[in-house]
Amino acid sequence: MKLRGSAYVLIAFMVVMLILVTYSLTMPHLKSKLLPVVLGSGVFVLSAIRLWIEIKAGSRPKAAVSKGGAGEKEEGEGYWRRYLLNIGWVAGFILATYVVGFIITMPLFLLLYMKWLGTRWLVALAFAVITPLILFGVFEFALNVELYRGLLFGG
Amino acid sequence: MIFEAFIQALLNFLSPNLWLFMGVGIITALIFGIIPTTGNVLAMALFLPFLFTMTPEQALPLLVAIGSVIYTAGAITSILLGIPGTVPSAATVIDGYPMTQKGEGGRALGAGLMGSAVGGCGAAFLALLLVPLLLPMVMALRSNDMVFLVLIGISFIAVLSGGSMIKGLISGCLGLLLSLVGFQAVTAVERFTFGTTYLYDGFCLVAFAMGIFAIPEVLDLAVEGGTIAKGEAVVTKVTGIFKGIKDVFRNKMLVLQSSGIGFGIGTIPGIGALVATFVSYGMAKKRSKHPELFGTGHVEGVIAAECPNNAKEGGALLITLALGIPGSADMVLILAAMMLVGLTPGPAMLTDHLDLSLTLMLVIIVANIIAVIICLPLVRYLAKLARVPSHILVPLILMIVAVAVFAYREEFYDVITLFIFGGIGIILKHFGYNRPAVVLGFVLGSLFEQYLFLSLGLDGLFFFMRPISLGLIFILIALFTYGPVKKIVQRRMGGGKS
Repeated sequence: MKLRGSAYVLIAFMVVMLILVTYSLTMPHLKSKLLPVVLGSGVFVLSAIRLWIEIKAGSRPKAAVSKGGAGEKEEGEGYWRRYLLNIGWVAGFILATYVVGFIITMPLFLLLYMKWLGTRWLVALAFAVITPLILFGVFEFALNVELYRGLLFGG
Repeated sequence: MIFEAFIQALLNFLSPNLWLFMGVGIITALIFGIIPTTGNVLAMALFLPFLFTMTPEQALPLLVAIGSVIYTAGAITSILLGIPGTVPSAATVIDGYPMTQKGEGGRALGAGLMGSAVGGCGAAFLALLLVPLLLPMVMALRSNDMVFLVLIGISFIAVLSGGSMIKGLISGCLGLLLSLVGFQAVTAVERFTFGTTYLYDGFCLVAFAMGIFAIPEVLDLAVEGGTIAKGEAVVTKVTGIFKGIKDVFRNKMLVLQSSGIGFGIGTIPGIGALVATFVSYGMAKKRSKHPELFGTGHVEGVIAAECPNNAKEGGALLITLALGIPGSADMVLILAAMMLVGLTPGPAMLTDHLDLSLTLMLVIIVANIIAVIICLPLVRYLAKLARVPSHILVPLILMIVAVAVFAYREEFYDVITLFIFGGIGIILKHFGYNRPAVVLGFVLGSLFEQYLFLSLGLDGLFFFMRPISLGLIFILIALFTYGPVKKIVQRRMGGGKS
């Protein structure tokens, strides 16, 4: 029997809650462990019930999607591939910022990501120059916040 | 007390600061309301990191202004391009776009924009009138009752927002659990910090809320790609717009009915503006002398769809301020904003900060009027914003979000937190979990624990044995059992008939 993605999410919740409740029971005071144990157990039980419902139901339910989370989205492999690629760009941005800081990463990220998404070179270049300048001006001068300089440049 | 607070609220409008921040909120709302798939949650979430630089009198009017008028702008693309700028504006498309196709786009715009403003102002005015009635009730609440009010708030949003009730409850509980990270207030025990000093104060609210709400929306935009709005907007004539404005004042009963529906639904947590607009549209069609005209380009359809949009905000804000129970995702962010600026959401807003609460209701009225004044002459130009391509929007928003979150505490780990919760938000969104419930649980979690232990300390295990608490418990039980009981009864009646 093939499980749907949502079933794996529920299983993940159950595993995490089991670990959480077990860990919470080792806390010294009743007041500190009460809510983690109660809530963790609650999520575990609810996840188990939902998992049972999904396994019993078998076929994929049709659902409409809204921002509040009305139901599951059904997308093809191409959709998730594009998603992972975009997440990859974001991960690259975080890593680059951590190493070299915002000032270097911002223009490079804007230029390369916009180009990858389909913007023309000139437009991407314009945004890559103007946006970091504006953000630098707003944060460093107006708000007096030093933007992260990265590991290499003293962050 | 109420009179003095009302005078103070009016005096707050003499402050240029309030006008400045309200103005920023209005402009932001108009931009985000026009660009499809962005919306009020993203618009508000973008300002969260900047709230630390603001006083409550600056931060809250800014956010309330965004929430009050974002649907006003959403009507523009709904009518001119047939694409809802905001989700609740979908009902406006039904009659608004056909009116444009018939050459009556100006009339539809006039009716829609004025309908939004009248609905919003009327509801805010009603909220002001109801404050004196709510005040005695709010002052009777104790920590015992607050425990159940918080549970009701999370449960309403979890159960009534649509989708699986179990997933909604899991979402609310997850939010509560995530709020427990850090030092426990009563015992000073470290919970789930794993020795990291970064987590001693728990997760950063700004990074958390923006991650859960903003990142999934932006990445969805990146994946879907392209320009949501295509095609040229039809030229609108000024005379047509004024005809539409007159239509609003000619259909007074319709405006009253639609605004009332919006206000009423706004007071019920978990039921959003989308439901309000379609319920209002359905009622208007049912009561109309010409129901057959609805859907063909009938101005009454536009009025019925637009009035409740903004009217909902008055009702939702009243309940959010009075009881600390937010009606929707944008109210959850207003609650989060209150905590960020040092206010405690809940009954204290109507007792200790009554003047600020009244100011916010007046902000709704003023913001609605200003939004219409801006929109009417600039409609054709504002509509062009709907064609900003996502390949420009997405990198810009991601950049601004990351820098803003860093700037909040000048802590790079907050940026990492932002994107980790962004990833969790993506999973929650795509597997049908309730993100507003998660954020609400997170925002109210520490308060809930404080109220719980205070109540247990004062009144012991039977702390719930108070009339108000028992009433709230009854509401909770009714909320959870209504759906399943209804299904059982329907199944039995269906089985009986066969």
